[in-house]
Amino acid sequence: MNKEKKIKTISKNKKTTIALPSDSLLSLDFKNILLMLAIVVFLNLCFFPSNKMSVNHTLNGTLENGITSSLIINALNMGKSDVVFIGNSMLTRGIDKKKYKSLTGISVQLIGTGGAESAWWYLAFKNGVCKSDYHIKTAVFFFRDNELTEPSERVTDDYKSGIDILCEANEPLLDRLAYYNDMSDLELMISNHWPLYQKRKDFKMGINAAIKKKINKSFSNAAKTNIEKATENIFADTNMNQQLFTKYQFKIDKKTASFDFDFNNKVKKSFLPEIISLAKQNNIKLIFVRVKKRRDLIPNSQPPELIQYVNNLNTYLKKENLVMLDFTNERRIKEENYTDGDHQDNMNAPRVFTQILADTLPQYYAK
Amino acid sequence: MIFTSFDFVFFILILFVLYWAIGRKEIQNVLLLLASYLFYGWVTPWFCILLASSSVADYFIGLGMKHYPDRKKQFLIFSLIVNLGFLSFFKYYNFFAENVHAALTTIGLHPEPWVLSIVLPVGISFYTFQSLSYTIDVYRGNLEARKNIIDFMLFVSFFPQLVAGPIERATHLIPQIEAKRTFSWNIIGHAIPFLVRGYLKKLVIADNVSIYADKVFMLDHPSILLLIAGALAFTVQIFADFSAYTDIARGSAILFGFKLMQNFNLPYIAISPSDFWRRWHISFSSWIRDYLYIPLGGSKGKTLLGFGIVLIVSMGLSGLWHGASWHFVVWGLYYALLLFIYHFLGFGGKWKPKGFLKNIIAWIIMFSFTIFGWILFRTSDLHWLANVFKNASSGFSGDSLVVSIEIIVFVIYYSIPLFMFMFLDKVVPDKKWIHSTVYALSIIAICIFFRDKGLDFIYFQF
Repeated sequence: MNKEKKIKTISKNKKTTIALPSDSLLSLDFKNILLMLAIVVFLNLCFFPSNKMSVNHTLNGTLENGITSSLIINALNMGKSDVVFIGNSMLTRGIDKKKYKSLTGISVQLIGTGGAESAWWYLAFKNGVCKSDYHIKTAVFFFRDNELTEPSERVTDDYKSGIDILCEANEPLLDRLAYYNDMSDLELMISNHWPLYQKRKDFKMGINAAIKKKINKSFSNAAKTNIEKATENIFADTNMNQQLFTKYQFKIDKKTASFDFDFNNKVKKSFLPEIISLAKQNNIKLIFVRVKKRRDLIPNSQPPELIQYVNNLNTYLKKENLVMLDFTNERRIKEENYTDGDHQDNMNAPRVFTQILADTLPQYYAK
Repeated sequence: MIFTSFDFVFFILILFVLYWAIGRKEIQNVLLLLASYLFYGWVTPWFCILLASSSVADYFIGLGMKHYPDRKKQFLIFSLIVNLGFLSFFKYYNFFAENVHAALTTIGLHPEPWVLSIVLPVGISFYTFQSLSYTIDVYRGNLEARKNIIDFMLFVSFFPQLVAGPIERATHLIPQIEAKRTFSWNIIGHAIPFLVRGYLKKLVIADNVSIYADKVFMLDHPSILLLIAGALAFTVQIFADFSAYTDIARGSAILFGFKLMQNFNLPYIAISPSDFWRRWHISFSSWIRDYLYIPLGGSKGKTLLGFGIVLIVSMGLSGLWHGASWHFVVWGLYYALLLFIYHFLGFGGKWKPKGFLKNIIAWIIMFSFTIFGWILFRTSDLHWLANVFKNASSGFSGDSLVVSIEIIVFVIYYSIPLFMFMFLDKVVPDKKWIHSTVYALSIIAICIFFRDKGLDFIYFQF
C-alpha cells in the first residue's frame, strides 16, 4: 500500500496521474491463501473437542450485600407486606416505603438492586416472591422503556454475580434467554459448534483483566489503586455532560430503535410471558409501572418506534388482564428531582414519586 | 447496507457469483448498477431518487458540453448549481437557518425558526464531489463526455465507494467501467488482504477504541490528561474506522475487477501539515487541491496575504464538507493556519528535514498538532471545549491519572495490528508466508475481539 505505483490513465489528450497500490505488495497467491486458511483451521482445532455452550452460575468470590432468594423469602415471611415492588435503582432511590405506608396504610417490600434488569427481576420473582410461604397478592414491576423485553441486558461482568446468587442449580430459561438470546439461530448454531467463538468473551475479558492488573501493579504501593473503582468514579453519571450524554443516547436509540423496539418479536424471547405465567400459577396480581427518566422531560424525546413499542406492550398486557401505568408524562416529576442521568434525588424524589404512587396504585391492588 | 452487516456478506457473495457467471461487460455493468442502487437504498429507498437525479443531470450536462462547446461554461455552472444545490439543501440548510436565526436574535429581532426536518442522505458529499469531478473534467477537456448512461450512472453509484469513498475521478474509474473484465482466481488473492485489514481495523480497533473516546468526550469537566488520552483514542479510532472503509471498498471492488485509488498512506508519520494532507483522505485532499486550491491560485506567485486567503477558503470549505457544524469549520481553519505557518517558516510543500533526529522532532510536533486537530474535530460543542481548556485541572494524579494511563495502554494495545501491517509493508513485503500468518491471526482476532454492538462508520455522517 505504501509503495505507490504511478500509473497513467490517458483520456482524450490529457494525462492524469493517480496513485494505485502496487498489486504484488498486498496480494496473496493460491499457496499463501491455503496457508492462511490452514492456520485458521489449526487454531480452531486447538479448541476442540467442542463443548455445548453452558453458563456457570457458581459464584466466584464473594458478593457483599448481595440479594439472595432466601433473603427475599425471609424478608417476605417476616415482613408480611401487602405488596412487593420489584425494580432497580429507579425504584430503590425513588420510593420511600415508610412514607408510602403512612400515606396509604399499605406495607410494601422493595426488592431491587442497582443495575437490575429483567433477568434479575425474573429470578427474584421466581425464586423469591413465588417461593415465599407468605402469599403476596400483588407484585409491581418498575421498568424503563423496553427493559421488560431485554433479557440479556446486565447479565454479564459485575452484574453476573448478582444474578448467580439468585439462581437455583438449574436455570435453563435464564441461560437461554439471557445468555444466548441475542443470537440468531445461525449464531447459536455457530456458538455451539465453534469452540473459539464460544470462548471469545473469556479471551477478551481475560486479556483486558491482565492488562488492568499490569497497570495496577505499575503504580507504587502508595499510589496503588483499584482501576475499576477509578474508572467508575471518573465516568460516573454525575460527571457526564447531560446534554452530550442525552445526544449520545439519542444516537444509539436511533441506530437500534427498529430492532430494540420491535415488541412483538422481542416479547417472545423475553421473561415477560414466564413472569405472567408464574404470577397466574401463584395467584399474584401483576402491575407494571413505567418510570420517568430524565430524558422524558424533553418534549418529543421518545422515538416513534418506542411509542409504538409501549402501545404494543400495553395491548399485550391488557389481553392478559394486567395493568400498565406509564409515568413518563407525569408532570410532578421535574428536572430538580434528578441528580444524574435517570436517577432520582435520594432526598427529594422519594417524596414526589411516593406521593404519585400513593395516589395512583392502590386502586389496582388485589383485594 | 453496511459493510459490517450479514446482509452485505450475502449480498456480495451472490453478486460475485452472478457477475462472473454473466461474463458480458454490458450486462455486468447493468447488474452492478442495479446492485449499487440496492446497496444504497437498502435502508432508505428514497435516497436512490436523489442519487439518480444527480447522475442523470450530470450525464446530460456532459453531453450538452460536448454538443454545445460554446456554452460549456453555462453547463458547468448548471452542474454546480444542481450538485451543490442538493448538497447545500440536505446538508447545510438547517445549519444556515439556525445561524441566521441566531444572528437576527442577537440584534434584537425574533423571527420564527426556519429549521426543517431534513434527513441527510448517506454519502451525499462523496458522490456529489465524484459526479462534479466528471463535469469539471469534461469542461476542462480532460475527459470526453460519455454517451452510455449506464456506464456513467455506475461511475457515480459504484457501491463499494459510494457511501464513504474513495472519491474516484472520472478519468480513473470510467475507463475501467468501459473495459472488459475477465475473471481470474488471482483477484481473490488480491482482495483478501484488503478485506481482512479492513474488517480488523473496523471491528477490532475502531469499535473497541471508540468506547474510550466516546466516554471522555461526554464528560462534563475532563482533566487535560484525560482529554489527551481521549483524543489519542479518537486519533486511532478515526484512522482505523475510515481507512477500514477504504480497505473494504478496495477489496470489494477488486472482487469485480476494479481498482480504486489509495486513500491513506500512513498519515500519522507525517512531518508537516502539507505532508499530512498528502497522506490523509488522499482522494478528498487531491480533489480539493485540483478543483479548488489550484484554480484559486494555490501558493504560486502569491503574496502571503493572497496565499492565506486561498488557504482559508480551501481548508474552511474542507472543514465544512465534513459536516454542518462550526467545529468542523474551525478544524479546517486550524489546518489553514498550520499550513500557513509552516509555509511562512519555509517548511511548506514537500519539505523534509535532514537527519534522523530532526525528522523525529518534526514528527512529534506534527503528531501533536494532529491530535489537537482531532479534539476540534471530535468535540460536538466548542463552548464545552473552551470551558475545558479554561477550567480543567491537569489531571496528573488520582483517578484521572489511573484512567488516563488505562486509556493510553488500551489504545496502544488495540493499535498493535496497525504497527503489524506497517511491518508487513515496510520490512517483509516479499515474505508472503508471514503475510499469510498475520492475516490468519487477524481473522482469529476479528472472531474474538469484535464488539457485539458496533457502531456505524464515522464518515457515513459526512
